[in-house]
Amino acid sequence: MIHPLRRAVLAAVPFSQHGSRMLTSFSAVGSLEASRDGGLMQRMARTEPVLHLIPSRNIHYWEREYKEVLAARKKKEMAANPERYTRPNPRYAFAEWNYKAELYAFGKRLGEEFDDGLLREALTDQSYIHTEREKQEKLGIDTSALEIKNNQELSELGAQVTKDALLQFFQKEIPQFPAEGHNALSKHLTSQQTLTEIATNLGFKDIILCAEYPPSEETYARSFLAIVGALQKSSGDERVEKFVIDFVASLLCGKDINEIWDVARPWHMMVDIAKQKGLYPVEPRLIREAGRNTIHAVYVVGVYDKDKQLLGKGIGETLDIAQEMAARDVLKEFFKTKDPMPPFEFQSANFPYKLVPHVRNIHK
Amino acid sequence: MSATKRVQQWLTFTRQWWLFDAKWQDPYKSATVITKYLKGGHKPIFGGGHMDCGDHVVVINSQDIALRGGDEWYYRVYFHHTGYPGGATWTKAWELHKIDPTMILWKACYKELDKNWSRRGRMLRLHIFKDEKIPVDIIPNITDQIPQLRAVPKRLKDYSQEEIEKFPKLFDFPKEHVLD
Amino acid sequence: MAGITSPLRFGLKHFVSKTAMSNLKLKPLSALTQRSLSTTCACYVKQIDVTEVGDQIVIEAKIVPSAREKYIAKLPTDPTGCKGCPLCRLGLTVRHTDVLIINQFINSKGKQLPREITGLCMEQHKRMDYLIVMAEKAGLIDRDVVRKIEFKGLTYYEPEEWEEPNYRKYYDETVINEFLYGPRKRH
Repeated sequence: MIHPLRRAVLAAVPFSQHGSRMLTSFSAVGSLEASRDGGLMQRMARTEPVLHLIPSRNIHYWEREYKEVLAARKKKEMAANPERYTRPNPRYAFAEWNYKAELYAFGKRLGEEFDDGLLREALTDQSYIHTEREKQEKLGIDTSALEIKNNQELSELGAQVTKDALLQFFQKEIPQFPAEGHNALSKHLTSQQTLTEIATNLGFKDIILCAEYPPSEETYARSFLAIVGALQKSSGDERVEKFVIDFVASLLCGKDINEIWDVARPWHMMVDIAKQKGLYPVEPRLIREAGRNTIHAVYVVGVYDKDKQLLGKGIGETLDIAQEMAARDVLKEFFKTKDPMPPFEFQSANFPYKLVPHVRNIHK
Repeated sequence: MSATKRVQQWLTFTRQWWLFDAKWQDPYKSATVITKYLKGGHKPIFGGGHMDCGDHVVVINSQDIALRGGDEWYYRVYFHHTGYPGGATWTKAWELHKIDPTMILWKACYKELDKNWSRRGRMLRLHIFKDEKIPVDIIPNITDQIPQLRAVPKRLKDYSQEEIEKFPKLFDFPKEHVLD
Repeated sequence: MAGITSPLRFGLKHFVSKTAMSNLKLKPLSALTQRSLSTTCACYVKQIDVTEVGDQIVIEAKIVPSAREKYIAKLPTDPTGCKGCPLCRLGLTVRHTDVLIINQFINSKGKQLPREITGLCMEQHKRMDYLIVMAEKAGLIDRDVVRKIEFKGLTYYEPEEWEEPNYRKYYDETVINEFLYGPRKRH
């Protein structure tokens, strides 16, 4: 027997819109009714599909039917006018949005002095210009006089500036790390994903002028690099280097830089460097092992130089993996990037206060 | 997870293999030590009995265990009931040891472990052998050994006559003493 | 309490053996007589030589230097004031597995030497008595003595063989304190 209220709900909403939890039929009651013929005829004659009651821990049985009605109503309403319930709701669509004031505040929040025109240019995407032009043409306005520059040029400048600043920073902080590694780190930090992370955290989302909302990763990255370019034009090289170190290079905090740069053939690279350093021939030796005949086997391999001094050790479930990890360990030793690494020194020389007592200087 | 972190994790949660020589050891006192390794209690990552970080223990020479002096071999009794009326049996320790020289140590460890579902799994990591003959595939697994609780005593017969003579003496015989 | 200081506290199995008692009565010769006729041991302090010249048997007692003399340990004076006793002065806890020490306090048959010879104080003498028994029961030394126990007017003899096979046993020396001074006080 189906409750009258439930019957009403079932009638109001078509079956395809129901969740599995909403459509319930008490099969136990049904079988009581049809006990004479084993319920076979009734089951065959039933038009709607039989769904078993799914027990829910969080919904009380006395609230259940009421909630189902509410859910059905809401679903119906959402289907009727979807625009009311679709996200996102852009902030710039609000009536009191003052773009000029926001732009000014944005520049001040970054703690830099921007030229207003350059800042606006840096945050203007090409797609925005297209849409503006289309709008005005629709209204019959002559668009030949419309002069808005997009951020393409500034972003190209910014990319170059950012890369230079980062490489300079790495050269200062991890000089033993090879140039290939420096480039890999720089590539990681200027990737679209990383720059999107920075830009969203700095509040670029509503202030970028572009056609789509929310902006794509590409737009975020281009706008951020354009901001760097605008800063270079506004305040000069010194400020822009600090800006890049503050906002881009600081993302290396808590990350393993050896993980970012993946060496393809660590043993070969290690041997090459050992030859240069005069440590060749190097020899891998098994230091420890456990459970050789089990699936939990583990080996610890050490790498020894020609003076039989331990250079590094690696772990692995097979001897090959352990040897490769040992080579990686030796490379870290060569590059002075062994975990735990002393922290990077991000602060500039003219900053009046020493924030963190840097242990890094001890090793230099 | 980077390659370094992965192998570090592998090493942390690997199961090591320990060797324990039960010669002249009390099985019940040894069981407290052995079960500590079976549970993984000797590891810094151990955080309670629910942790699955136990090691393997290979016990050798279980036929040479030593019970407390007096007649513990006689009064230590193992009870079993078949479930049928009159099915109770009481087996003395020496009788059990005669039937299976690994059984006393096995039962001691089984009794010492926590009484929960992880007990059977832990007991599977205990390998007891009555003498020094270990299967060939187990020997390379072994990593380290658990120190014995008692030093293995040496019989007077096992010392050479020279060793006995040259051992420092605590007193000298008086004059005109006749030894027998 | 006699029962506490008795070796019965070892938890040994005891039974009265009448045959063993009667056997003991068949040993009229005193120990002294037996000793003077012995010729087996070579490390006598007083060595007894027996030579046969024709019909005559010459029994001669020679005083020879002790074999132990070179290996006597230099013992410190005991801070507790027990002057003569070597074990007190040694200051070590002797265990029943230290067979090289225990061996010094028994004769060739395994019987404990008297205090007049060893110089032990009464306490250490009793202690050593227990240690010798423990070492023997653990199978570390061999003894050729029948251990007679007199308790409450009855004489007991330890059985030579146990019912169970001769499996390994170890002893805890702290129980000797209970044998000597009675049970531990438990609060």
